[in-house]
Amino acid sequence: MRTEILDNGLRVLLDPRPNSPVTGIAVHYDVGFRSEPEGRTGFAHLFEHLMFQGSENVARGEHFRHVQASGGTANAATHHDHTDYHQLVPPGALERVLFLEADRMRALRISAENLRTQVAVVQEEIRLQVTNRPYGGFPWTVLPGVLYDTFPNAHNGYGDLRELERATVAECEAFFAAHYTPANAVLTISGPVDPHHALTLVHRHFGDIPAHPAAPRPRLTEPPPRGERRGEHRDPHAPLPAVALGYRMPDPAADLGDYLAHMVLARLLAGGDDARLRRRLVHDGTVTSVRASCGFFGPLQARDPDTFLLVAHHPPTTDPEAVPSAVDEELDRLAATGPDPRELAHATARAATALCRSYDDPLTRTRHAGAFALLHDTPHLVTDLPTLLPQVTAESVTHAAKALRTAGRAVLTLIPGGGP
Amino acid sequence: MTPVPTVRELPALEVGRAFPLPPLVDAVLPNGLRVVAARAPSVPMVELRMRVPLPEAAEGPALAQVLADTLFADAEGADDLLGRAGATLGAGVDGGQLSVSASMTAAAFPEVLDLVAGALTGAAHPDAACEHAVRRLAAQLGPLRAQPRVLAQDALRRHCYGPDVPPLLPDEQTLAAVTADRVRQLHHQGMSPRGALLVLVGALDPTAAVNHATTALSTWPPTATWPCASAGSSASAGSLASAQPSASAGSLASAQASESPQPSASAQPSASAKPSASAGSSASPQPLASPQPSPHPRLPDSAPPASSPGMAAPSALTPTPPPPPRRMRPAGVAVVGRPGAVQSQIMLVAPALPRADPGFAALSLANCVLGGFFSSRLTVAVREERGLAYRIDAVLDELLDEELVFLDADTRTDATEAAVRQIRAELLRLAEQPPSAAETDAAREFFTGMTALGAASQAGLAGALMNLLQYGLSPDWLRTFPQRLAEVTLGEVARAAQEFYAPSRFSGVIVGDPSGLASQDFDLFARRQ
Repeated sequence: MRTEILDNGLRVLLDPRPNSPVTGIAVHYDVGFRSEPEGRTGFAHLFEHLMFQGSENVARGEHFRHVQASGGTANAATHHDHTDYHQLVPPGALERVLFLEADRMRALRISAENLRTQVAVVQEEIRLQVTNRPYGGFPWTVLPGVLYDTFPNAHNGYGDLRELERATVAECEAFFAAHYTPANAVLTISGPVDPHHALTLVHRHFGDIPAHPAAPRPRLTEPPPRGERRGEHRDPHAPLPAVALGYRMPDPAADLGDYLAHMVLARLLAGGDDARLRRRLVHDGTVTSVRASCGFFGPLQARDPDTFLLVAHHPPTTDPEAVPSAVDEELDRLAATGPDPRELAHATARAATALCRSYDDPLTRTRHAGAFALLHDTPHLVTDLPTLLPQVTAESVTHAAKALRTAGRAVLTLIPGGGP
Repeated sequence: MTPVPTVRELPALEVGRAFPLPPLVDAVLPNGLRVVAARAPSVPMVELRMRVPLPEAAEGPALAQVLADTLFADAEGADDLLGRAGATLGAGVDGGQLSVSASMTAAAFPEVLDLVAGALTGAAHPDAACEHAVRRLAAQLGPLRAQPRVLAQDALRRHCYGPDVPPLLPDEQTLAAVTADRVRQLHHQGMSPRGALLVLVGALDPTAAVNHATTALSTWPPTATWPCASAGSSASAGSLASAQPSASAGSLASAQASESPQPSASAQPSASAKPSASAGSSASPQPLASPQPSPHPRLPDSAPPASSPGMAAPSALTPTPPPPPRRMRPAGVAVVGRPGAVQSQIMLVAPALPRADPGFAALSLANCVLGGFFSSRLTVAVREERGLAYRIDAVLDELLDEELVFLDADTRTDATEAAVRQIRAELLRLAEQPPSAAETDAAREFFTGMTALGAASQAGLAGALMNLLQYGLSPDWLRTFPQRLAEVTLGEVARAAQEFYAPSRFSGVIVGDPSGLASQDFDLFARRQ
């Protein structure tokens, strides 16, 4: 794996995979929903849709058409701090995809008609994923509002339907100019490529995109919450209650080992049938499901502050305090005596094989390598994480449990029903 | 943006190199179990997939769900083995079949396979475990039924196949009446290796893997004395996962996993939500693998069951012929009320062709051009030009063992009729303006590319192989189908478009807010033009 930087500032990450039958190509831009302005929640995601609506030499819809007619797939996703555009294609389509990505980075075309249409499409997406289904968007669209105070961290990244309707072409053009610059992006190529040849193609298509400064990143730092914060979320479609707990995570830039210890802790608490909270709460029917994870969209997919979360669904007969109490007690036990060696070995093995399996998928590897490079300057984690996790010690897990037990947290209860 | 627009040309595709195909062994064990093992050593792991047909039970899908949920309940040392191996192991019910799925380190593969074999041949389904499973599954029913797509699929079955079809999900009373005795009876009298499928993919030696499976599973007898034993699954719960284009409407086991956070907001439905890429099976472009013809086509001991000493002839084991396949009836479009809904689910179906049919390749291309990928006519007309939907698809898939084309979209309540009219207009246009050479070639290239993409991970290859075997196709189909696609003529595609997509062939349901839909007209499909 190697990184090159073009004169215009574009970072190029080359990940040669000689035995892979396919090539993954991704462009990660340093802009996510934590970058969007107040009064325009959901704008970063709406803009992501507009990136498929045509550029100087590519008509509306042609991006997908060219990639799919080359035997490949394309998609994009908006995260907290980055937006990634990704393709998985037969190796012979590399230059075609570089052309398509470069064209929209150089000169996107935004029309009022396309904007209106995509506002409607995004509204349908939000209905499908959030407002028309039980547990839609729970907890990622609502828990941040309880755990965090500042607008970038606290607001719903899918956004408000009415705020989306207010978006203008001028705002889109300004957003593009402010964030979609070569120096604000990482281009990742992962596959059976000759690095020298790939770099030649990259220079050919991206080299003449003019450099220009990007807007500064949003200020995300805020003090951790003190004590416990409570929130309620009404879900008209949900038949059963649920509860979500959110905690602040350690900054991976400051202490990656501590972050990894939290990943193992999540496994110990709820990662397999023999995990502590599963044994304790699922087996006796207190909850119907419980899960724990680092990050709303997975570990290391956001900059600091990132969220450790626990989510449980439970019957109406369960005392709503049962889940937070059980979490406290298990954290207390881990803080007092640490994990037992067998338990720790299982949790690290499970975490490591899950990552190994995940990065066997060429698209996941491409996307995560790019995200790790952009967010943390650690692209090699796609190969290193499966070996780093088994090195997490009992002491560091104990420390993580202590930290969570003594930290402030958010407790969000989902109240079912209540009419539309 | 550059002051002077520069015209730049789309680069040509480089000539692709031959796709490296994995070595593979395809064998039928003496007891009838088919095993396919493929070597794909990209990571030191192994993926296991298994399907075992289950006979019909009076309790409907409830009994099978409890069987699956308790399959490993008394497996000795399972927690320790799975923990050491970092393995995942689970069982569920899909399309009336028991489905087992596992992933593990390659080093632990033999032990995990032994564990699975031990459960298949000797699971005790303890009383306490069955009682726990009943409670757990019952608690999941409510959240699952509240999913609009589950509601739509359940309504679609009854609308198109009559009120007597097996329910999509068990009801609470039937589930509560399930006893451990009945679960054990179903397992040990109703479940047989005949017709069962095992797929192993990963850092393994295919011959050694098949030999190990043979040893581990040789004590599983091919007997089925279940009262109404029928090898097929046609009478059972139907195709829960495969008929559900969305991952959000998964099986009981995944009922709440689907509530995990959206992997963020995509410009198009994510792969996991796309019917074409779901774990289920669909004929629209999907990840498919292209394993090589096996270097060891048959193991020496893979003789047909009838010739195996000590085994009864297959005919003696099937006293009851399988029931006749169900066929959907033309039933028009029905509105199914979901008060408070802000979006409607449109789900329309029409009879299609089995995968083995000579016309299937042409039908696949016509379907792809209509709605099988993001460049399709339906996506452009309904989503990209009119903003009427985020997700709209045409998928070839099975429902209750019948091959159908599914048209599937979600749209806001007040635009539902407009979306249905647009779908109908595209169906008519497909016959009037059949897929062009450019459209057809794009679909062809997409299918061929998906073959390589789908096989590029161990999990992808395992899923693709299992899909094929379930359709009764051989792994070689992965190689031959793209060739067949290449030979399809524009005339054949046009004939498929005209034969299968007339609006009058479609029936289905629209699930949405009853008052919001009351004044809208959906009686469009029965009319001729």
